[in-house]
Amino acid sequence: MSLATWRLDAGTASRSARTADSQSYFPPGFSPIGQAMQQNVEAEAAADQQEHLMRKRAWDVAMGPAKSLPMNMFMMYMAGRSISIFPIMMVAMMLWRPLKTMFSVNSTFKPLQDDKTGSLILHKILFVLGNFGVVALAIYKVHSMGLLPNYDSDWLEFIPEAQRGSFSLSNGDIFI
Amino acid sequence: MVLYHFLLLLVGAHALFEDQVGKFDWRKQFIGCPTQIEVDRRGKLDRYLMATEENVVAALSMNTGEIVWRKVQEDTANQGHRHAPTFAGNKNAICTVSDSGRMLRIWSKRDGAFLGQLLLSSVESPHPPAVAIENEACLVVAHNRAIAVSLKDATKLWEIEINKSNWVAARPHRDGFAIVGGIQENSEVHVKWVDAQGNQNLNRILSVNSFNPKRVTLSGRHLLGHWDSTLYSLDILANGPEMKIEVVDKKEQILEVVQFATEGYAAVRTTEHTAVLNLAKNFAEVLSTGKSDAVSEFVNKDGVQYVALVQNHVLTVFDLNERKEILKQVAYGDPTLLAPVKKVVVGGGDKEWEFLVIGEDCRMDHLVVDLNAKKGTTEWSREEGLTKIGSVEMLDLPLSESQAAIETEFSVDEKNVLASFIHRLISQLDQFKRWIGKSFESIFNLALVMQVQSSSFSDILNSVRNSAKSSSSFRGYPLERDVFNLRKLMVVTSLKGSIFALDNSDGSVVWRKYLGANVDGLTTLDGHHKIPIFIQRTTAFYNFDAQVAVAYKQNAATHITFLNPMNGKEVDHQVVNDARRIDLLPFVGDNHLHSIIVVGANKKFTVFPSLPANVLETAPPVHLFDVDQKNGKMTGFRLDLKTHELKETWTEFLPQWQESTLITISGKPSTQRTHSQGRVMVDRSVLYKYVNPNLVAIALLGKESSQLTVIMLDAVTGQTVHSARLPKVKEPVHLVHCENWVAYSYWSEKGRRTEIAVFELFQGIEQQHLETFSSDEPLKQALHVEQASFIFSQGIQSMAISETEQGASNRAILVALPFGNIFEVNRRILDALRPMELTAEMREEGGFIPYMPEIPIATEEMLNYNQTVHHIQGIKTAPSGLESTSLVLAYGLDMFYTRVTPSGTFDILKDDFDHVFITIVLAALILGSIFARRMARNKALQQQWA
Repeated sequence: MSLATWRLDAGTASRSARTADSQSYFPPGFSPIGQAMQQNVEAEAAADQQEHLMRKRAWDVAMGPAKSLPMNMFMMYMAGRSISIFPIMMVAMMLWRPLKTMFSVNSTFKPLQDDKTGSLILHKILFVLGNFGVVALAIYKVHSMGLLPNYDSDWLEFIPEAQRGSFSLSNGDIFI
Repeated sequence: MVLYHFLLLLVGAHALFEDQVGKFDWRKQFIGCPTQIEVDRRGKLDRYLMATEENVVAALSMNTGEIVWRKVQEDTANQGHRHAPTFAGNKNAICTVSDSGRMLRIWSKRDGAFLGQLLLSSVESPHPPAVAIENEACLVVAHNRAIAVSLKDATKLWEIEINKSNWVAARPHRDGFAIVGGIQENSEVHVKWVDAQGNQNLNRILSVNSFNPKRVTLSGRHLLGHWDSTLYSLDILANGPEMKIEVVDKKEQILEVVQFATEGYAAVRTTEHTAVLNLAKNFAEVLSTGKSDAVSEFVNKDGVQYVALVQNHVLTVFDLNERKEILKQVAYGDPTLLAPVKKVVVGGGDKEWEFLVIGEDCRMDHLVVDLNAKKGTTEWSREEGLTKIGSVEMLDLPLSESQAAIETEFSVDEKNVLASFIHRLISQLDQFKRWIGKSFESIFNLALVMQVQSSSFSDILNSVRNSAKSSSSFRGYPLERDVFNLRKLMVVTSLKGSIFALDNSDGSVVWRKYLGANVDGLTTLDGHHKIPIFIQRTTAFYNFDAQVAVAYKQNAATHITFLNPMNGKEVDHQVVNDARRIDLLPFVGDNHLHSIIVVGANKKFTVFPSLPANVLETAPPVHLFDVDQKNGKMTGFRLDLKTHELKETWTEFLPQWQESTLITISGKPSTQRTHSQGRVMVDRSVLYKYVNPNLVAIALLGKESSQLTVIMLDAVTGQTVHSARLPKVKEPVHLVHCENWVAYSYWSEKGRRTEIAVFELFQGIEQQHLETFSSDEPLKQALHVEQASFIFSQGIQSMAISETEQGASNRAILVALPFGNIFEVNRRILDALRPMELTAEMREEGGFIPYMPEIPIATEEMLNYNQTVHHIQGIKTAPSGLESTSLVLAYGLDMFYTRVTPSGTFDILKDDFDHVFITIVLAALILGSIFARRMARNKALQQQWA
């Protein structure tokens, strides 16, 4: 089965939509005629090649985040440690994007889901790990910018004043 | 140089703008308690010329009481100052001898212009100096010399030695001067008559049989001496013996002999009567019976001689020529509030009589009395007692009516829903009513402001914004708290025997109370005089009145008076015989009242009011310590609240006590808060502060070794936590103690400059005392002490630290400079942890100021800009309701009040906040969005049609 399971022929669809009122509820580009014109382009000989391509593509997707790591590193290095709007924005994006993609792992791999490609669980794990790598890089960046509250000094203002266990009248004057 | 400017940029952003002058601050100028007063009626403006105890010469306008000119001379607090300044004047010039006979100065009489000065000696005169003026020469008798000085430029004309005396008098006589001197308890009177060129025309010693008076007065050619109940007169130019004047019974005591301007006349006040003496005739005429307070002479333009007399705040004037009473028993003022009169001066008299009455507490009242009036009217008064302040406390004002109403509402615990609902409705109705009233008032005030000033928009907005806090300018408002708790009541005790409550918004006197005759301050171990104020209960409790206790000495006994600080009403009064320590107990008894504890010399103590049993049961241990002034032995005690005894816990000897002077023993105020428990280092680790509330800083200065010792001592355990020694140090030494650090200033003999040293105590990088601090718990590791010292290029008269509510803002060290400025040094500058060199990490982290030995003195940091304040003796700081703002009162000869914001005004909009711009932008945005919405709707409709 090919990646392209259907083909859009706007010419035929619009034509038929204009001519036949009864068919106007079909979405644009869809026509029963077009469906009828669908051709099965697969050849038995090309099937293996197709499967190979599918697998390769799945691996590409899974390795994507990991591959982007060096580039991200370079970007972060270039962004500098100063706390200003652009580095902050870049770091925030870097943190946010992988988190978002991690929550949509399944939808990312949906088009590749097929009986022939087999289980994609390994790909998914790699994909998630790669994303974690990016997140870790972003967190390291935040840390190196000094924005992470991981030192004692960051919690200093929350330490309450110690209560007095005993009292001394030490501020008064001694009179003679 | 570049670095220096950079530093200024970092810290110097608190300067005042021109339009803020006088907005947050006020200054009051005083002259001090007058010792000599003369009336100057020449020229357009009548005035009183005065020399005062504070070494000030001043002219006061007779109409308003304002200072026409004032000349501040040497500070009396610095060195020995036994003799009050004295002056003599002619038509154009006055000649003053001040600083205990050290300095002679000549001033123009009309405008106080300085004409010249002559240093008489660098030491104090052995006898009180005398001064006389004749033609163009001024004669000073001081240091057993008579010196004539030209009035034009203060050059010395001639000088003669006089016999050794401990009293002298001088007066003009036939174009020359008559000089009289003698030694008390020695029956000799030396008389010299010197002409204008310095030739001694007469030089003789009168030996008298019974002339050993305690007090001597020269009136014309007659010398009056008196002791107990004997009064003698001696004609200094005649050869005859002294004459006894028979005015006094044996039972009576002579209180005072008052010299009159008219030659040959004087008045004598005794315990039983007042008499006028005609010395030429050796005759006394009794004016009134009963003890009078003050008497004074007045001669009008026609040469008619009058005598004014004050007796229990009642004025009487006699005409000496006609021998009748002109004014009979004219009362003035409220006698219950006023102190007894000690001096009266007649300013003028004809149809309308003018008097200046000076009370024992140095209050001056200028009275105007109509000839037929029954009561005198007070035209103006001055509270000169405020130049000698015993202590200051700033108190919150009570909750406003509406705030209190809210409090009451929540305190009523009614179970009935309906009743509480009705209660709620009523109180809301009440609030609404009050709000309407207030709004009307503020609209009216705003209208008034707009009428009075053709002001800009921002001015009007400012007046709206400030209307809450400036309500004091509309007199008759009740004292109530404002939104930011910036308005406070300052309770001030004067060593002259009065208590004042001042409004901090303008320095006006809210109430005053005279404590009584012979009131003196309590002498502290470090040699200060104080009338301490203890705040027993603040105004935080709407259903209880605030209460303060004031302790003072009266006739050798210690009195403690308990007052409501809001109206000055006395609640209670206690007398104790000896009080070694007086302090507030740290816990409250009934009714949120802190008790006063008075520790006597016999290791017993009393508590006022006594604490209930349940409080005593749960009371935490309380410690205190005492220092024996004989041998410097410190003893720590624990209070046994049940048996009222002191249990000795530790003893310690202060080093080199005998040869040292105690500079100060300085604890920390119990209300002081430390917000941040540590300091962040450059590697982001934390150095935890050693904030020990029981810590006391003791500073001793060796008299011979000139070594300054600062000891940090735990008052509970007696353990010396840290001590610092500095050789080659001279006075003045000032020390402030705050949180975990101490700053002290001293004169360095080695560097010949004033220096300020700071040391800070840290626990180290691990925190030991997490929840409760206990002195008994031993330290796990040795204290980490950081220190640094800085050069301060000015002298220092007084030092204080700013206080804020939570202690989160930076602190500022306020320094009073001798030339009359108050300088604010940010704590970031006076910091022991300033790095020697900035490393790359520090630069990256930011906020580090590299160490620089000098403290830059920038004029922007002068709190009082050009409002010079003289002879500052103390600075009081208090927190306000705003964390950023600390209230400051500097007092001395002058009084200056302002606000400081060491970390900037981070919690309030800046004064120059552009209200117009923000309003326009907001309005434009709202209009724009309305317009855009309509446009969008139109477009959508059109699209649908298309």
